[in-house]
Amino acid sequence: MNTVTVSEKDARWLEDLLKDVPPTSELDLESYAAASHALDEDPAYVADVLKSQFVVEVCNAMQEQGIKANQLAGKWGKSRQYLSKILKEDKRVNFTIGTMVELLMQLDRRLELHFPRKGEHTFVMHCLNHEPNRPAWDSRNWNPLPQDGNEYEDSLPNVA
Amino acid sequence: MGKTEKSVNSKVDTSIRLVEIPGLNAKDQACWQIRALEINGKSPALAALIEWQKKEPEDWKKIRKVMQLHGSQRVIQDERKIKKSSNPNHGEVYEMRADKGHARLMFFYDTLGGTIIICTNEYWKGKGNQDAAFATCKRLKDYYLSQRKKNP
Repeated sequence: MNTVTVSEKDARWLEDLLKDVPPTSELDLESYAAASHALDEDPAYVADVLKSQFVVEVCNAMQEQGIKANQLAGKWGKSRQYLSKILKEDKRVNFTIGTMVELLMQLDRRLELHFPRKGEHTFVMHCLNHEPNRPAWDSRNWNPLPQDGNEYEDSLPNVA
Repeated sequence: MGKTEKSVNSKVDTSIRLVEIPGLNAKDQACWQIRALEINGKSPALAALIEWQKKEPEDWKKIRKVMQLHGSQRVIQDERKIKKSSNPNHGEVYEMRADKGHARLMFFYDTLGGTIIICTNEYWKGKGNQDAAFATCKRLKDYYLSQRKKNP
């Protein structure tokens, strides 16, 4: 645990913020972990997560390639409405593995399935066929702790 | 007046640490570690998750799904899941959203101390003020960063 020294005004703000926050007991944490593990064993939830994972991958690939939904739908030969339903995770659209393979191929991606046993995890290592040219490592120019907030902000991923 | 100035200028020690969110495995955090910020032994984000799990299970499932997705993906483009504060004064603070639900979990990224998503506080759509929740996240982020600069 680290300590930060704050002004009395900030301390009062923190006190106010935390006054209604209940402390977390060991029992709460155990019960929360148990509920989380139960969710990971629920086929409906797991399927929902995988479906979302697929959509996230499609959206990221579209962003990477600078391709818009209407362009992708045209390339795929499907209506924009159908693609939109997939991307919005519309519960009425229950797409097949065939649909997933087709859609990913439009984006130069492949679908792979893995079947780990319970308790095992699979990790994907993305390898490039050709090592791109990278600038030489220069430790002199590396500053792990920027002096002002702007440099910190610059190092963040462009998520939004 | 002199008394007030003395009061404002005095300093108070505050403890800050990151705590794990139970039930997230290594695969869920392959890209980003997900942690909750705890101040003086209390974590608004973790307390909210525990409460939602008990009282708002549908929203909790959605938030947990977003956590798992983002933990295993570097970037989430979908604004129905992750959204940055639209107020430029807040800088880089975000929320995890329960799509078509009410729960929102505010967070920021720490890319210097590793690759960590730090959940700070919550917001329940329709209750309270979203802008204020982002402002709280920003203020907590500032405390966290000032602490980390002191104790890298």
